[in-house]
Amino acid sequence: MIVRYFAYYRNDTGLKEEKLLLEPLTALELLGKLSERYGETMRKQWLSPDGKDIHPDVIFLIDGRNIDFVDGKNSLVQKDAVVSLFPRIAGG
Amino acid sequence: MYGLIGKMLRVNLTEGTVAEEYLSDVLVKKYLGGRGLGTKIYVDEVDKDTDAFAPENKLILMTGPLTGTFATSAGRLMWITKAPLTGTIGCANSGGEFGPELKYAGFDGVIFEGKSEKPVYLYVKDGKGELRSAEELWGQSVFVTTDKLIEETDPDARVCCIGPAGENKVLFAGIMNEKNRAAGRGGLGAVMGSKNLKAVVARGTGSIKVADKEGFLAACIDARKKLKENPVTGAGLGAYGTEILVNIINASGGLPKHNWRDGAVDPDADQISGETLVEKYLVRNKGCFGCSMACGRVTKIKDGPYKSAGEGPEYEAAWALGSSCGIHDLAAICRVNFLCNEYGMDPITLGSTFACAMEMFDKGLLTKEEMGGNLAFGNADAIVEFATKTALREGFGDKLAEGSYRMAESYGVPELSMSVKKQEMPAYDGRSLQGMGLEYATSNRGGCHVRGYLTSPEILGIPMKLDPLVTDGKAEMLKIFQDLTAVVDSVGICLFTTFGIGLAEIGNMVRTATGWDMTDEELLATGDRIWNMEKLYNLSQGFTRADDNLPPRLLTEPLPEGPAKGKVCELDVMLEEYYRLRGWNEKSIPTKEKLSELGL
Repeated sequence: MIVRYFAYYRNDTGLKEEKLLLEPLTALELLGKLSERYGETMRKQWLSPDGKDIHPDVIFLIDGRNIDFVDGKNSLVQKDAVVSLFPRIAGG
Repeated sequence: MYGLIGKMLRVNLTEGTVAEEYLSDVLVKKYLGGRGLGTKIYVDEVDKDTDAFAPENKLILMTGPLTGTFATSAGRLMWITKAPLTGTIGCANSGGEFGPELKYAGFDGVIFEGKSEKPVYLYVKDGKGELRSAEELWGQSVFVTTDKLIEETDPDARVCCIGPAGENKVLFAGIMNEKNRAAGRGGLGAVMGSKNLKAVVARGTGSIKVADKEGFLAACIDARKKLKENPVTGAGLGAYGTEILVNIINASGGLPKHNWRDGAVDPDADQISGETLVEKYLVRNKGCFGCSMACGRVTKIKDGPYKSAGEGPEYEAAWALGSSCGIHDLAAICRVNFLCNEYGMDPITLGSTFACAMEMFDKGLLTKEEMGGNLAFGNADAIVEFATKTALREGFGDKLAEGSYRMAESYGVPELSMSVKKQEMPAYDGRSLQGMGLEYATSNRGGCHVRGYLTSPEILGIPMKLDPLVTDGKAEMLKIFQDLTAVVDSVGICLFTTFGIGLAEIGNMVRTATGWDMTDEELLATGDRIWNMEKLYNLSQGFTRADDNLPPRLLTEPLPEGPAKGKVCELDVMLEEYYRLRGWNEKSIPTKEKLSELGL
């Protein structure tokens, strides 16, 4: 799968995108794994304090679909999916 | 009067006279100020059959009761007239510092009527207004005009003016203030040009009275605190500007490519994104009067063929000149945006008109010889070259200056214009954001994103999350957004505040500033009244239900890829519900009961 980072997340991970060889997993599980890789700063931004939920300020897209309109934190990320991660942003 | 000063200037350009007038308390409370009150004055005073460029047409400059106060982001002013691009009511607003300065000079607004024989500008200073010659300024850019007028009047003066695009009646000429802030859409700068009015200069040392000083201060501090604590208004907008939307709209499958022809997923979008702008060209961010969000971009292209400096671009401009034209050279996009500010021209319509011409060229309907250049998808040099030609109406630029609809129509292909009511839609595909499709179709000023910004719930999750691919609930939410936007535009604060505060906070600021006994619900109902007043004007101009529509491409050509693959905009379903919620009949005409309810 490909994970793409945007806005602040690019600064904090040092990446625009990365390819990960992972078996299918849930959105919450993916952010848990990414938090292990990028440390406490990202864990605080991505997960609730108890790690059981995705932080409300994360916009999590799987192949362009916001997980809020799929199955929330339990939405399945397939091996060939493209994940886009945004912090809460706006413009217009 | 509290909030507003209570005084207007009436400037008869034919006679060369300037007179003071007092505002009625009753009228102000019913229409608030800004967009609402300015439109009310316009529709009451101007015969409906008046041409936009006729001397009998009037041009209204209006501020709101919060403009220039301690209310958050309260730097807004509104220009109102018939829009030459659309023929609808035209109202375009701008931030910066001019609106507050006009109130400090003692006036809430100005009514311009007639036509001056020679170019003039209006100078307003501390309770007095006078017309002065602008003959030496005619033909000058916005930047030169601004500098010269400050030199000629007062070093602390603020300047609103048109550039060559307005003088040449480019149908999407804007009115600029502080050089880079734009009342951009609909071509109101061309109306100013038709009156030989080059500029308005304001300098004031007065103040604004509010009804309840302590209450107002508390309401403003509460609103400012909420904006500061919100991740969007407290950090994101200042860091990345509106251009931050490029990647999220693209990732959501909503960034139209090649004049909306080739889907809405641009693989190269990141090259023109807010992140890239920050990395390559941002000098610093910049805020308008009293704004803590500071989303403005001061940018500089340090070297290369597009070496230049200025402000912007905003997201919609970057899209119009970028993805829609198949261009991913952000330096070229910045350069054209700077030129738009210098000439006083709307980059959304300009870029969209370029994209339309590029598709016509692609189809063999236009040739290089006819265009006198190579306006082809992906040609960055061409958009720089044709920006100037358009502003000056040189060669093929004369056709481009009419906007995409009239240009395409003159070749028998109006369907290639991606516009609603002849104004180009910006940057959000109505096939992947169904609510935005409804918004474009029903906007009272034609294709526009800031009359009821459903991107906010559909993509950004503010203030709640709505699935962009479904139609359910969109009509109801759009009506609320449209009415609230009419309130925001009328009281004189920036629409972006609504990313962090809502009707309750705005209501508190308005009530304590003005002393009006008005509930939040009554305030929102005033927005409904303003919306219906604009609708009635458009009906008087011959617009019908058939005009509440989208280009055929959005209704019949499914998106080829992305999360909305296979979707078209399901407009009819949403439109039926929208009319019902508005209290309009099936012909999109407000019922007698509705008008009575609104006091119209």
